[in-house]
Amino acid sequence: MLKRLLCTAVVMALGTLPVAASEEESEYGLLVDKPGAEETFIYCTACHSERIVAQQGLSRTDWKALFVWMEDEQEMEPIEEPDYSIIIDYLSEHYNTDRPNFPKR
Amino acid sequence: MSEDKKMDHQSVLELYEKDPVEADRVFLGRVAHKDRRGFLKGAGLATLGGLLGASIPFHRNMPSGLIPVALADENLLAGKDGLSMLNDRPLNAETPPHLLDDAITPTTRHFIRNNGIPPEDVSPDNWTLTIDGLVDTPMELSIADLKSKFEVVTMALTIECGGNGRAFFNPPAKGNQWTYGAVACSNWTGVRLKDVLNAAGVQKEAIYTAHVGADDHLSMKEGKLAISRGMPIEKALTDNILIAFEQNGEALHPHNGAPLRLVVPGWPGSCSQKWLTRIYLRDIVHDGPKMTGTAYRVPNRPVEPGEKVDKKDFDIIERMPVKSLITAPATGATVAGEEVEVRGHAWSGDRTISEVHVSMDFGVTWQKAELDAPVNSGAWQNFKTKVTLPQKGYYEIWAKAVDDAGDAQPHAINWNPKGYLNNTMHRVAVRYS
Ligand code: HEC
Repeated sequence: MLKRLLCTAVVMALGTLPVAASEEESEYGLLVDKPGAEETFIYCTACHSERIVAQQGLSRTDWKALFVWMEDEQEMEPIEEPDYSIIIDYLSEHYNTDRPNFPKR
Repeated sequence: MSEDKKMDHQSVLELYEKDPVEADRVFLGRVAHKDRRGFLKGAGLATLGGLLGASIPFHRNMPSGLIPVALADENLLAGKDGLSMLNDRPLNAETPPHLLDDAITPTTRHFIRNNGIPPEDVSPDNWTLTIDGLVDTPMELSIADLKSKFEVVTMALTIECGGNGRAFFNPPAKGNQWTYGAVACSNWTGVRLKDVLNAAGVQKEAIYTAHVGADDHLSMKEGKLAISRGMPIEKALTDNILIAFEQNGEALHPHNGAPLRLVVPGWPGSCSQKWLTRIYLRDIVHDGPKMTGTAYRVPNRPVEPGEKVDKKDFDIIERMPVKSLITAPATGATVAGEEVEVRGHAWSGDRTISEVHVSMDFGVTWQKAELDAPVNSGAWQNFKTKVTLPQKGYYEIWAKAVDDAGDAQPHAINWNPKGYLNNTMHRVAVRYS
């Protein structure tokens, strides 16, 4: 029960509460608030939070490979266009190997 | 945050877990409507606002029984002290090195590595462990059976996540970005895996164990395991592997696998299945989730950073490499005197540490630290020494362990695609002023 509530809590309007853990948190948790953040947040926080996403620094090729792994082994539904490209573009721009948005702890 | 406030969070969460609608009524004075939304009014609204430290402009939209995520977050690391969180769902958290100073890691300081969704009911009373597969006599054992049928032993055992140190890989490796603190050495009480397997009768075709825990896969798909790893049968029959039901003399922490887990010291932490429900023996190398592909595997040859490596060129990680951690001084510390005590631990999977050397001049000169023997096989070893800083300024203290096979910690990361086995020397910064 608790789990389900927590899951829904994340995707609900509560994100707008002014009590997020840190000042930097956007509406999309740790994800930088740039075009594509919303799609990424919606698709990628069903099973885990966005924190595992924001920790990564991957090339476009490796992001694509990760999606394949997530589909083949972790039960992620394939993401249809145009969302697929929006998310891949977002991740490869803001979470590439140079780690421009590596979360501070 | 004051102690009082913590108590409040605790009781709020407990009631919400038991009965969300009742909790809403008690704490917030709101009653659910047919559409499952409730209205917060007056005292209730003020109470919740007080707990959150802010008013709730959209309180009318809050579904009945919903725990504000800010309160839930607050409690995620309950029973833990000072851990830094890498991920909240699934929960993954590590311990800053200076909080690992104790010879035996308190439960509050033991890191958490979760792959799936932990079971909700972790009471020991109805828990059972199944031993089957290639054994003569399959068994189903309660925790009470384990305690009464087998010798109960307590051992200090080192568990380190295979990906500890991943954060320093360049190009980055995917997964949780552990820095230093996904390692611990608590006292574990339980029975030897070896005794249990021997009681069941290991058949001669058995070559590998397979471990199953009660956590769900993150997708919540029925019957899908989050992780199920194993080890060669020869390893499983060694003396220091426990099926543990106590951590530091008390129940295991829920996120450390309560009420029952495996503890396989010196091998990747993933071998130490948490919330353990079943061990079966197989005549093939176990192929459960996170045994195959590139999970917990490294290339069978040295590779260039960033190199793409074919799946068939990966080997399963077995023992973890020689490593040490400086737990005092804390990195960034300012010291007032020239003499500084340096303390820490060193370990090497299936081996003993023979020497630890410490440097305070970027590795030009080294001094040998005092080194304790392990309290038992599988425990890390404590070291300490005093260094003398010649004048005021910035120093780095480095430690380098050498094991009884002559392996020493390297300067540079042996890069591999998945970011495992980073055993480079730990460096801490010290300012003498
Ligand atoms: C159906 C469930 C599901 C969905 C949806 C999902 N993931 Fe995952 N993801 C998982 C599981 C399961 C793991 C493994 C967790 C573990 O073992 O710690 C994982 C792990 C990861 C990891 C860490 C990889 C590693 O090697 O440890 C990253 C990065 C990640 N997911 C990114 C994403 C992104 C980006 C999306 C959205 C496009 C996404 N996930 C959507 C289930 C999912």
